[in-house]
Amino acid sequence: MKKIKRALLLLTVFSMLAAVISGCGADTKDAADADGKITVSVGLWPDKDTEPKSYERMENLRTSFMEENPDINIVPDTWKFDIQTFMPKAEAGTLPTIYRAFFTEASKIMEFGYAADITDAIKENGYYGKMNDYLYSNISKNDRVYLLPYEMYSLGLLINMNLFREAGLVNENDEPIIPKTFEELRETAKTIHEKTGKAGFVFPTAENGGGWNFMPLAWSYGTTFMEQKDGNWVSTFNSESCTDALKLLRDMKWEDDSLPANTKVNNEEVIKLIGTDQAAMAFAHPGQLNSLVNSYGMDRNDIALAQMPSGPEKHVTLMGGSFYVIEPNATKEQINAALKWIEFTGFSPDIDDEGKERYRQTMETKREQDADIIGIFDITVWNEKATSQSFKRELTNEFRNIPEKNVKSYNDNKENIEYQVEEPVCAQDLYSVLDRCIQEVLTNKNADCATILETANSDFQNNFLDYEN
Amino acid sequence: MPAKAGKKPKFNLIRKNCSAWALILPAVVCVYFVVLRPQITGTIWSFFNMRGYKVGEFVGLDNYRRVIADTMFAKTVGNTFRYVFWSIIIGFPIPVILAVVLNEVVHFRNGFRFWVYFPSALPSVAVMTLWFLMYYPDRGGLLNLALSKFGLDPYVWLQDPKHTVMFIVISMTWNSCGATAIYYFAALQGVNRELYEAALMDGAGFMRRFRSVTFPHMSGVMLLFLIRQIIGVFSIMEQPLQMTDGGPNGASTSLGLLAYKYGFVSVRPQLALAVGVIMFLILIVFTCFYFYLNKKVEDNQ
Repeated sequence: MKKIKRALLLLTVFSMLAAVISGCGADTKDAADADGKITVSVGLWPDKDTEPKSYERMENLRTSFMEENPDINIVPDTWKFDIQTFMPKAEAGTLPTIYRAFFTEASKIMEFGYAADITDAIKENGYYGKMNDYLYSNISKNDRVYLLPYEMYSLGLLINMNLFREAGLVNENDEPIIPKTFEELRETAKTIHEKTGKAGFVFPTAENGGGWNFMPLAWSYGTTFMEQKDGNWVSTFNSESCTDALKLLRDMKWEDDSLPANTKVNNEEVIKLIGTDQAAMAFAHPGQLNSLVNSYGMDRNDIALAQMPSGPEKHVTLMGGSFYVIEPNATKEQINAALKWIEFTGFSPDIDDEGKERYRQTMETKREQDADIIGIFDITVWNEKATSQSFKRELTNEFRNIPEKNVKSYNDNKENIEYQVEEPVCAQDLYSVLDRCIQEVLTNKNADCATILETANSDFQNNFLDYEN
Repeated sequence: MPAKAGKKPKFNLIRKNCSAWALILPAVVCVYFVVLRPQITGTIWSFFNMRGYKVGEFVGLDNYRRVIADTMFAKTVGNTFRYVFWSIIIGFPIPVILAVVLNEVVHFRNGFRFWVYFPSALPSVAVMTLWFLMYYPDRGGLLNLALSKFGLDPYVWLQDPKHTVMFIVISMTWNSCGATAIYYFAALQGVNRELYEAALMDGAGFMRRFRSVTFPHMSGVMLLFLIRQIIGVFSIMEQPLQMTDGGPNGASTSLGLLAYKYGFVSVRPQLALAVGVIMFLILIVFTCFYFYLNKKVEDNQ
């Protein structure tokens, strides 16, 4: 009896162990589920509790899509891209069939093979050739396309109208008096600080946000950050132009005192400082603006977005965005089904009457829900060959909920400015190096910009670029 | 028959061990999967090139070379030892003092105990956010408000690269000194009251009592906690991450934070693993010392 008991005990322990071990390695992904449907899981699904309105909208879309396409099963997945959970998920093969990631991660995702090749599929459905040309280098590798740009952004100058009004920087029509150059930006910030006591300008310094915002500033002073010489990457920002760009920040901090006292600021905190009337200006793109309303309760009349000021050498801004990725293990059927779904949600170069109607409904609900800011035009994925472009613009104007005068400068000036994408190699590493430079300049009154950049330049070469060559 | 009699106890021993093994097996499996296996594979992978979390080709000591050649590395090691230094200067004596005070107070004992222990019950992230706001560099910061009451100018606190580490250690000490103090206090409670009474009878003052009675009873525990603190503080990561993001200009980046940034921000896990192994090697030295002392203390008791 005892023996049997003991044997049973051992057996239980071992079977539990076996279950644990086999559970770890189980591959639960199937292209088709039991009733022969093609399963497509979609990431970035809104959370039922925290975003009930968007959740409802997506659920409705999902139901009508599955009615129209009975052979496709859409499975919601609330996972949203985040670098820390991404890699483990990619390795475990548990990524949703469609996920969305940022332009900054594009090269890594393609290099590590975490994206399916969609070249044939988008040639078939006619997307190929209708995208803006400058995008191709960012979404393809060896002439194969892996990523599908979803939305593009370009940085502009975010303005808090409350502080502008308080400082008398609005005209008789309540339009902000926008700084056109970085010198004017400095003067404006100084005026605001003198008249309101609040920070005139806020520049991020932490979590790579500082380096990211520093790009358009330094570019417009004429800086090139890296060059390829004889096939080797060489760091080149120990230049006079870069020093001048950094000096602007130093002078704004120590001569004008127009930057906030706290110098550990990440991108989110920048928005918070603007949203709580603690700072008047910052660099931002339209996608960052919704939280001004949603998280900080700002009135849309008090938000303005202007074009990026120009520098002594160039008038340039940073372009980025996000793109759809289809996970690398997807079958051909899954890829096609995924593209169908993406098109159904309103993303396609051409639009038929049905699509127009759906888009109108989406805009109506958006307007009703009053969560997003409607009325800002950013740069677009599609070129002039796409018919959906003009329609969407019309509709956006119809449903706008931010006064046009507040965003006119950003909306109307798409031609007179250059768009530059992030640096080709080690962009995030460059940002981390530049973050440190900006921190040094903003915390050390006697900092010498040229020396700091000399060190940073050789650090960047030695710690990062040398390993790319 | 005598042969069989000799065999039986041996057989029993094996059988006894057999069920004992079955009982500890789940624990062994857990330790293997959660502690041992990651450590071993991590160490092995630190000699390989990795793309994301995929293991690539063997590269020998290249990852270590890259980590050590990084211009931030020396500074980061220096910072890490600075954390340890300040935690010994600030974090070590405070719990001792608290324990002695707790032991000496006559009134409101329980109240004191509660307030001493209270900060330890708070999660570290909450404490760091709290202190971040206390150290806030403009006039709205709590400490600067206090300074302005005395007519002093606001100070930049965490943004002063010379003292960032010290300020972070102060906030950590506030967070964790209570728990350590309770251990010391327990050691003191074990002291025979008669010794104190005898000392009082002989006319010993507080200092004399502390030197001759209290301290000798605490010294063993203190030594162990000192080493444990060094080991704990050496792998500090989340506090600078939360309060300064390693800044300003890397002045508060510790080895732990460096590994975190390699692993999760710039996605070069092989370098993070190399930093981990380097930390491990340094800590091994401390740990050996800890075991040596631990044995000595136990022998003394």
